[in-house]
Amino acid sequence: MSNVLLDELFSLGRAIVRHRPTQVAVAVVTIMAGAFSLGMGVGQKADPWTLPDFSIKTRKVSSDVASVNRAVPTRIRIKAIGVDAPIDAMGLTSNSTMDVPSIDEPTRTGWYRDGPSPGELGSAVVLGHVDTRSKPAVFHNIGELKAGHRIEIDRDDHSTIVFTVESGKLYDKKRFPSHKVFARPGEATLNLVTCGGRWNKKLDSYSHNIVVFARHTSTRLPDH
Amino acid sequence: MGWAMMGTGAISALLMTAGVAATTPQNPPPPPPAGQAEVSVSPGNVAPGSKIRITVHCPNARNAPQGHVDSPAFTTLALAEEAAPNGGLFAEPTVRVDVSPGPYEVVVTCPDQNTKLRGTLTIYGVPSSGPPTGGGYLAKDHTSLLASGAVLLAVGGGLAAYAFRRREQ
Repeated sequence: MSNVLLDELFSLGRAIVRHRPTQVAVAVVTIMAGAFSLGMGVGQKADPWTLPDFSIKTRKVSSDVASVNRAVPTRIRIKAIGVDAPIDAMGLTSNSTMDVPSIDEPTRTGWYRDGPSPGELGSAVVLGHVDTRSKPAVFHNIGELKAGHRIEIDRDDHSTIVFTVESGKLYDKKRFPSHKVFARPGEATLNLVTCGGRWNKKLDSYSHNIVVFARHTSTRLPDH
Repeated sequence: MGWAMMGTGAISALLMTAGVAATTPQNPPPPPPAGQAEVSVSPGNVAPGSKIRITVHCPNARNAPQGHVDSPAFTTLALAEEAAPNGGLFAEPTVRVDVSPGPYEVVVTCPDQNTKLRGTLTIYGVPSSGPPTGGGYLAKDHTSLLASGAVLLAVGGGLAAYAFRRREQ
């Protein structure tokens, strides 16, 4: 019974395609494009943009781990938000902001090489893009980070420095706390920097920077 | 006569050195070997306004007048004795806030006022604003995607229905 029905449907379909191939092709392509667009829209709505009110509830950790000597960081891993990315050493630009990875390589991150290295005393800074014009980038899930999450940094002396997230905040770019992020003396901290807030079309820039503050809590040396 | 006296002096100097060498195992960490960095600056990379710790091993440090540490990056400060029994001296100067980035020499004048030991301190520049780390994709309003998807589906359905109807006539 159902086989007969299916055969009839197929032959009807074949006849239509044979007689009106252009209309059928246009209809099929249009329906597919519509389904794709609808699916993307639904996907974006289901994964809402929470960064405009980003903040991490502060929970300080106590740590008596010894600081380490300088070495160049090479890789960053944050399991909690699926980050496993290479680190490039970066300096200052001519207008006195920290240089950033090319927008064409949004999966890379940058370390401020003029400041301390991760694990040395003071503030080490690693930044990454939150998105590009057309897709999410390495730190797009940063809104999921919580106090207590671990950040691991591999260095070229084969050590791995482990940091624990303590707090995080959104800062208006007009009042970016440079010294708090790049130059707080004392304990060894790792500060992650990316963008957040609202997109300002005119300035072609986000309104805010997101900063996550993490503290050095353990060190893994090679061959142990 | 003069030669003989000099010879004796050299021998007694050698004996004294040997005597000092023999007692070193009792003194915990020995001073760093000659040729290495003589002055330890920690951290070696700091921003203007930061406090740093300078440690040094001076010869003849005991029972001598105070030594001091000089650098263009901070105000001259006197050396103090470490609490730990390793014979070291230290100072904790604060780097000037208005100092420009770059390497700075640190010169320690030991308590004997003759021995000068050197180290390096690097001051780094602090970025003046937040970095540009986004392209705007995540902040876009995706309602338009939903709307255009719905319109395209409706048009496609209409075209398909039209093709079927034309066939049936």
